Amino acid sequence: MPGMAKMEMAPELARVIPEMWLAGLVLVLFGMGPFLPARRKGWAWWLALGGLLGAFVPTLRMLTWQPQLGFDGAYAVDPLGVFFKLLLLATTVVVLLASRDYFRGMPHEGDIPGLLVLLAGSMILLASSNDLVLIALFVQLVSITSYVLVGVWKDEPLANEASLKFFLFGSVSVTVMLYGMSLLFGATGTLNLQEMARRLPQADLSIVVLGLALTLAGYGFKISMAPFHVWVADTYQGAPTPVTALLSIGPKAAGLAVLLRTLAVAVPPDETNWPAAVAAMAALTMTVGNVLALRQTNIKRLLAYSSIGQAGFLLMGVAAAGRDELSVPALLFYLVAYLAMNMGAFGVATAVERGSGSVELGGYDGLGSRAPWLAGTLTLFLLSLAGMPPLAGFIGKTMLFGAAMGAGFAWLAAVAAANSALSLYYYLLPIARMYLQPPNGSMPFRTAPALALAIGLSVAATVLVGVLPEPVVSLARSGARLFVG
Amino acid sequence: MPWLSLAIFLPLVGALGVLLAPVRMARWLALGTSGVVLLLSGGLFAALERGRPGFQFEEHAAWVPSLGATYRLGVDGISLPLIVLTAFLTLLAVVYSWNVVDRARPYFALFLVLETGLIGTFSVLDLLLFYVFFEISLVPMYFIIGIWGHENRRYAALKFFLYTRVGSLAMLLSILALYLGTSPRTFDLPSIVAAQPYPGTGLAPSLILLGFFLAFAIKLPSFPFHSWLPDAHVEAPTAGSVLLAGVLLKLGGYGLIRLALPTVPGAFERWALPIAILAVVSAIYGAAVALAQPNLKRMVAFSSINHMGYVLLGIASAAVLGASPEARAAALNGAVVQMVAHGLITGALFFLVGMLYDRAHSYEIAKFSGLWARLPIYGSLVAFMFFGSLGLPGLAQFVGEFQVFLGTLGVFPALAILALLGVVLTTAMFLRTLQRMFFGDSAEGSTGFKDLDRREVWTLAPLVLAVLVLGVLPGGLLSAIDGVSTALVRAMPLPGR
Repeated sequence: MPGMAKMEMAPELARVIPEMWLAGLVLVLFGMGPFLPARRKGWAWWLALGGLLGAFVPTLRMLTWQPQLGFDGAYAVDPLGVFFKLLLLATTVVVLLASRDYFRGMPHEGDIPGLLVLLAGSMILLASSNDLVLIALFVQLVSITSYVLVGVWKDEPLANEASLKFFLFGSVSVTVMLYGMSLLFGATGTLNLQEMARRLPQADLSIVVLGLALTLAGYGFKISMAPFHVWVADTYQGAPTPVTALLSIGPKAAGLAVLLRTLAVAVPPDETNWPAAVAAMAALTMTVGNVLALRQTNIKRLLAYSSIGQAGFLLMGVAAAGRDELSVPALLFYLVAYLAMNMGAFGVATAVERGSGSVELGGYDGLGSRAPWLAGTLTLFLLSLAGMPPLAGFIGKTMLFGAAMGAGFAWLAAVAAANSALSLYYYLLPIARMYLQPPNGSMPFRTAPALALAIGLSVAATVLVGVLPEPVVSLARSGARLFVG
Repeated sequence: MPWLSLAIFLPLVGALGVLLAPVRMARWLALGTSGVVLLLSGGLFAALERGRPGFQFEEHAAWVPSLGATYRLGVDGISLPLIVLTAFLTLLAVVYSWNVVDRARPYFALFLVLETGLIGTFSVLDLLLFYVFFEISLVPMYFIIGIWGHENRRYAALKFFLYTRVGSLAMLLSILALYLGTSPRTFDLPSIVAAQPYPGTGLAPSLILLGFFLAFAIKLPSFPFHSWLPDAHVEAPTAGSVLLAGVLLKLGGYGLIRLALPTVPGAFERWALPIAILAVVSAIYGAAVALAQPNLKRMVAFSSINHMGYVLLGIASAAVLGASPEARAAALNGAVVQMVAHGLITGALFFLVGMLYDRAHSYEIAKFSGLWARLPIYGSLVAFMFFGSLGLPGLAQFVGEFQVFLGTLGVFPALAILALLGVVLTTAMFLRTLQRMFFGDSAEGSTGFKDLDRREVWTLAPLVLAVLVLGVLPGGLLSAIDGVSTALVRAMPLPGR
């Protein structure tokens, strides 16, 4: 390739500096976390924060790199991967901010920052994996770290239930995925995605389709794609709220990245017709999530089902990939918007939980007068999740709908529009309680500074990305390039 | 000067100020802001060059270039009167609400945010931006109904929000279809109109029309999409009802004229007859149901469905490309004048109904009688607006309805005659109500009220004046509208002819 002459062909290890940096950080944090004196547990938090922010530096340098592969083609260093590195780092930073006071004085306070960084690192690795073995490995690593984080308060019955359900469902999904991958390996004799793309046309189509379908179980589990979503509500409800926030964004994003990478790189769209299959899954996922969300009375369960609905919208971007130039940018843009608005919503939920001790919607009665800032910001986040302009979620949804229509899935766009209308109903439930109900207490809340910063960043992003979307649209467009081969 | 941007965003700045100002200052700030916006929009209307084709006071700025969306503003003789109407009614709503005490700051702020959304919708020439402003107006209205409304407010607010949102999303799909169909992809309305990506009457243009029609027929509202309206209008606080009926409904008519008519003219013509029939059904149904209402506010609400039926009828007639351009232009002129006139008269009626409620805490028609003798000023104003609403010549709404009928006679003569039935029913309704509530002896529940105070007279006097002026001297408004409708009607291509 003539254009390659100018590109920085970084030496092998230089291509994974952010990953190595995070791995080192994890080792240090695991080493120090348990041994810090009780009053100094905060050091681990500060170190994790500084380390994550530091990881941005080598990652941002990679923005200008040409798409390339490393480690014998097993690991992709391309704009898509870099985009997900940045997104997942940002997610973890905001979650870390939101979790500062939530875990203060609680069991394992010193271990949680290390676990969060480990999760960030494993998600980042998953998003760039270009080989089925690495994908399987990192799906497992993300899952195991998540199980631990969900059940980190081992004396809480709800957390135990959450972790156990998560673990059982996850083990089965991952096992099914491994079986599917072995079928794909059997059919093609390779685990590398590029190599698979070359060999699939000669392979037995029925085995390939079966293998792909089974592989989707593992991906679907991470994305919370229906019908692999059944663990979500109980797990989200029982997990510590900042962990729920991370689970609702990070693993979904990494799962979508690897799904996109697998399908777009390895699988020819015409013979297997995977775009139509993904479109059907998208429609199913958003409908299931939104319908089940309608009757929730617990904010975490409500946001859990909402996140399933949102996963359905995100899947539209994968379904349209390769058929409309808007598709992958739409997916990436919506992920940025989703990070801001969903993180913000969980941030406010965390603050209300600490202020009123309630995760039930009843705890939001009259919040508009008790805590006007929290109520106002939550209103913005929920309206953005519902796709109301001029907030970030609106531009994202518009791009996703456009991508679906441009790809010939007009029916999917119509289903998605109907789902958007439906979702407004349950997003209005907390809003109506905050403003149209009298308060059931008069205690004003005090939101911890780190959490307030997390919410503030989310608000700024939700509004700015909605009103002036151009920079993020450009970023999403440039991040939409992946190493196809 | 970016006059339009100023008119759009000044209320938003004012809203921020209202929220942050001390409570006593808040209403003055709201009054000042809405007053300046009215002066500004009135000045623009005076400066509008009549008869010049195209948009005026245009503004252009990059917004999302990589998606083909621009910050493009511009007004003409159709949109500017609606902007003035918005500014006018917002100012009067602030005056009427002067003594609101329950959460006054957010109350005034929401009205100003609403004004931003409405003026923005009428000023933009970019479809994505249109959608943004169109939906922005939903949120403040949801809160205005939900917080300051009557007993059933939560249900009404939710129904209003969800119902209109369904329509908006249908419109979003239509907008996206136009966006994807134009090459290069763009949300710029004039470019899309020039490119005509969906000529003809096939499935795609028909579906695009359907999306637009759903959104705007819900907004108008037209039968059978009207069921949100009685709830929202009745439960909303008075000033909310005024803006809801006075301006929000006009978004429907305006959207059909600005978006649907020029982008899918072929499909609009194909479906013009069914739409016109729906419009006539709407007009008669609205009048008949209003006639049967025991609740005064509900009656006024249903009468809006009747009046908006004429707007839809005028637009449908204008869509028939084969008919005479004069008739089509007249029908379109009538529809726009009707929108402005209805905004003034029904706005005034909701103020009047609210003033009665402030005194008697009831909307029951049967509870009142002989009010005129007790409250002469109030009675005269109600009678004036009733006559205006039933289309008395010399008052504003007559001008609109007359032209709609005139234009429709040249396109769908049978429907025009049928629609007259709506006028008869409306006349019966208003006269009967006048008779029951205002003539005769005072019933027990109708005594002990004070007549209108100064603030209330100040709220209504400008409306009376406007209704009179528009009725007697409609030339200033008509000359602005006519140039645009004639150009619009003539510019629409004649596919296959």
